Amino acid sequence: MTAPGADLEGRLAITLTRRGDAAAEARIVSSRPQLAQRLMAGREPQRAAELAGLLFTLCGGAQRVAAESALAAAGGDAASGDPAQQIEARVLAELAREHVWLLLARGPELTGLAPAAEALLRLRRAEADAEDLARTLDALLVERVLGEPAAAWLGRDAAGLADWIAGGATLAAAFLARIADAPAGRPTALLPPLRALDDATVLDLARQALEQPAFCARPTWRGAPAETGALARQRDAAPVADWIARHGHGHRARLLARLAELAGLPARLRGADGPAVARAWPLGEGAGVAGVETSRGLLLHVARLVAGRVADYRIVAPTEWNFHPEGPLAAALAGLAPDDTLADRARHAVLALDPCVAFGVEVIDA
Amino acid sequence: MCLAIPARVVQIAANDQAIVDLGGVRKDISLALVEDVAVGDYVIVHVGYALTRLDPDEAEKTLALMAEAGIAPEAA
Repeated sequence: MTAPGADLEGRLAITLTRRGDAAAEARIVSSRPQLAQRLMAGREPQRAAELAGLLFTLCGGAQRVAAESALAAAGGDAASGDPAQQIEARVLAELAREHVWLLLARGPELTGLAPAAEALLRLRRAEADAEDLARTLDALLVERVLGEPAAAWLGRDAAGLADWIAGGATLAAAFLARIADAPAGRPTALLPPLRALDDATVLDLARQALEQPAFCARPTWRGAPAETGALARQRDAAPVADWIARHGHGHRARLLARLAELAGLPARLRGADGPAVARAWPLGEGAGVAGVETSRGLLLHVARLVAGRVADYRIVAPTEWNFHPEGPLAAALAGLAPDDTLADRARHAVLALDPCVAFGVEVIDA
Repeated sequence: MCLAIPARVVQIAANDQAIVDLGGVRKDISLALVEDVAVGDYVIVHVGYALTRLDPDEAEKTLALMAEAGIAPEAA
């Protein structure tokens, strides 16, 4: 008997083939199942929204917000039942938790550093109250993440960020120092962040998801794969923009974008204005779409109701954008030199894009 | 979509290590990221870590919903 967990969660298998001195050839295979239709079809909208919150491990809050919003839009309401402020607080808390998980636990652990489990516990204990969470995050940023107040770190230019990494004064800086940076072998477009998504783009993505379920497993924008996540959202923010101008879209750019986003979260949690983290659009004829910004990128839910029940349900998750066989990871792996550090450098590329399932890297000598 | 499949804690060892049962299969996991977990509790596991502790009612509800959708027969 196989473990249902292993099968249902799926995983990413990355294979690198070496042929002599030529650059390694990368292949990305995802076994993540597309279960949205099976789980949601036939249910009443209220039940379907509750289910979405229960069923997903890492981003249950975002999944629930996306489901409620998409189902409300499908039913003809512009907004979901929850007040906007409550939705934003829920999405931001999850964003903070997932960024901290990668920067202080998962990332360090996979690069040979001791993970800071207690940092995550502190954050989780504070999650119920936005001010408590903001205060806890402020402290964590100074003690374990940035080593200085957020405003000072956000004021650094590319050279200042390089100094910060090299100094390795915090666990997050030490983690970034272990990530061998590499600019993408070829460019991948950045998906517009939710705040900048125009109606025509959203409607087009939603229509493709509804009409071709395979689109959800390998989404494209303007006919090509695209990257979503902190880099796409933070590309114009001062420290990240300066870094990109000098170093391109490499692994460190992605991680610095997460840091910049995390550094801005205490202010957002205290009510500072920021870009929308959740939006919904009615599509007409009983259909609706909603987008939520998660730590790994844009999460889209598309729903179609018939006679008050879910008839069609699609989820386009960020891991499917970033780990598309010809997408951002493929670009990051393209052209890696076939030396002894190949497997480690491939793992760094995967880690910087942070898949929401387990992954394996295998090197084959052909 | 990483499904949150409740796993039952069957044994707790030193250093936050534990064994969980997931649909009849046992796995070693870490409890470093959760508090106050006892044998018999349900947790949600991701890449070897328990991320959330569920109350038994919630866990059974989730398992029943998954079974209903035909995706976790052994676990229900």
